[in-house]
Amino acid sequence: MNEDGQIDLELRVAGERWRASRHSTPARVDPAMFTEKRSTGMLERTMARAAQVLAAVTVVAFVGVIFVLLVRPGLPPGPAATSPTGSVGPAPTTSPTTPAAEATATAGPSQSTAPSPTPAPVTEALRNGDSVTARGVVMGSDQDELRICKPEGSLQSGHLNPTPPMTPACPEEVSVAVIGVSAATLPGWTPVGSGGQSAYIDVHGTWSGRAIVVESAELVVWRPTTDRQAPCSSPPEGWPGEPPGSIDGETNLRQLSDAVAAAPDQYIGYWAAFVDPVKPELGRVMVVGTVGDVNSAREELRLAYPYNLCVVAVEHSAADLQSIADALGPFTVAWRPEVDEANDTVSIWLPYVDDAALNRVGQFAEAVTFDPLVAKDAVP
Amino acid sequence: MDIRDVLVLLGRESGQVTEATLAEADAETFARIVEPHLPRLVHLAERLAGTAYRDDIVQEALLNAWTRRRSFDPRRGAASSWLLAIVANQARKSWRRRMTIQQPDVADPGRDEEDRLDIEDALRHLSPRQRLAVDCHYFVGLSVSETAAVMGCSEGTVKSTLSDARLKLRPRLEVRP
Repeated sequence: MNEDGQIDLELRVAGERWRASRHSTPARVDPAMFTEKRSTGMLERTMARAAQVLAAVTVVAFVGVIFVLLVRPGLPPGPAATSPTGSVGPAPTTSPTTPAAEATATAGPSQSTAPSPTPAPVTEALRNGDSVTARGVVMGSDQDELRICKPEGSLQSGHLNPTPPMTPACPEEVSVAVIGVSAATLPGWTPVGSGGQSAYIDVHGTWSGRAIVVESAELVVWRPTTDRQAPCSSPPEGWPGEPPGSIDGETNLRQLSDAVAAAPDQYIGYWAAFVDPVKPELGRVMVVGTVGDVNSAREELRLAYPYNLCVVAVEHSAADLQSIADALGPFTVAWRPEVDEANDTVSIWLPYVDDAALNRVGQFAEAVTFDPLVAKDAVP
Repeated sequence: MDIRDVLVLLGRESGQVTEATLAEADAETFARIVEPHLPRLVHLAERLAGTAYRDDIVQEALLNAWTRRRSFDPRRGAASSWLLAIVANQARKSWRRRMTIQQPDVADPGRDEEDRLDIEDALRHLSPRQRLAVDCHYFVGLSVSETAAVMGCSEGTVKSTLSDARLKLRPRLEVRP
């Protein structure tokens, strides 16, 4: 991992933990707040209504405080970072991605047509007996239920009246049950109230309908989203450089942004990449994907952005992907379609892929990738 | 039939409430459109203004969004970006109102955690724009386009600013094995 990737990783970890440590996130919006006449007492009345609504919502109380107490921040839990309190699986293994290796794989000829690496599409629903892995935090109790969910803000909703620590639990709509394991054997398990919570872990097991039969669990070794390598090699005359850190540079970036945004049927969007992700000091490159002619697009965009620019061919325009994302909506906590321009796809987060999800994607499958909480293990 | 034809058919037949209808929404519909974005709106308010003020800020921002909903143009961006920008603006107003009283509390719980302090301390050395970009993207979890909406700049500037912030943080965050 390069140093930029390490900083990116640390910030992502810190951000995830900060979000997980938040509590009292309201889950509902009371429409009455929009129609009631505003007065000095409106705020208090609305908050009181919010308290009533929140009390009725299934929540993870004090998840944030619990999370902070359980998971020592800093290094992501890894083999050299912490000692799990009772792992049911083998010792954590690590094989972080090697940006240099990826870069080599994606480097192409000058102004190539290769887009950034695209995640393998999920085309099958989970079936009973599939080997699966889920990454997240297990919460609950042996007596009640253990569930795994992704620790982020949307999982938490709150309470306005502080209560004693309750058993943390993952909301059902964004989690799956884990069975066949004793909570105390999960890495980083810390009792809270009548239950508890694990560290951030990978759970491996067998899919049984709506639950994972756990075979092993291990602390997560974080794999950062490293900066991408520009999918164009250096032009013969060399890269022209980055825009200056001044109003002129901002103007150029805006012009590029505006030019791309003005033709959503032509471009997919743009993203930042590096000449060499291992050596970010060599400079950044703005990459633009187009469904049209690459050479024409490059000439046009150079007028707006005469700096490091790489234009590549893509399958879908921004309009295509946004229309698909809209058609696949609405966006909910358990179904999150979002345009991923750098991967030329609409990415959907969801707890797991079932037949209903595949049917919902239907005719858009070729443009969609799933990012499920529970993923089928790759067959070696 | 290509993908666009399918989309047109789906749009006609679904009758689904979409963000494009936000400008004309009644209170109930508006609330349903806003709800999925609520966690991130709250996190943004909390990150920018502190825990104690976040609920008031989000509430005021939602009321502002409701009264200004006819100004929402889906062609100019997603509803989430529009709402986030309103929350950020509300947070700025709130901070300005009380800046003589206290600084925004952006790092409230967990201050006793050594590594968290390392990062929070390192963040203090960023420029205000770099700090805002890092707060929005990494801590609130906003996309680049949403961060751009909050910062009032282009996506390219957000990407550059984040990259610059990481470079600036590099010597302050000990790279651990």
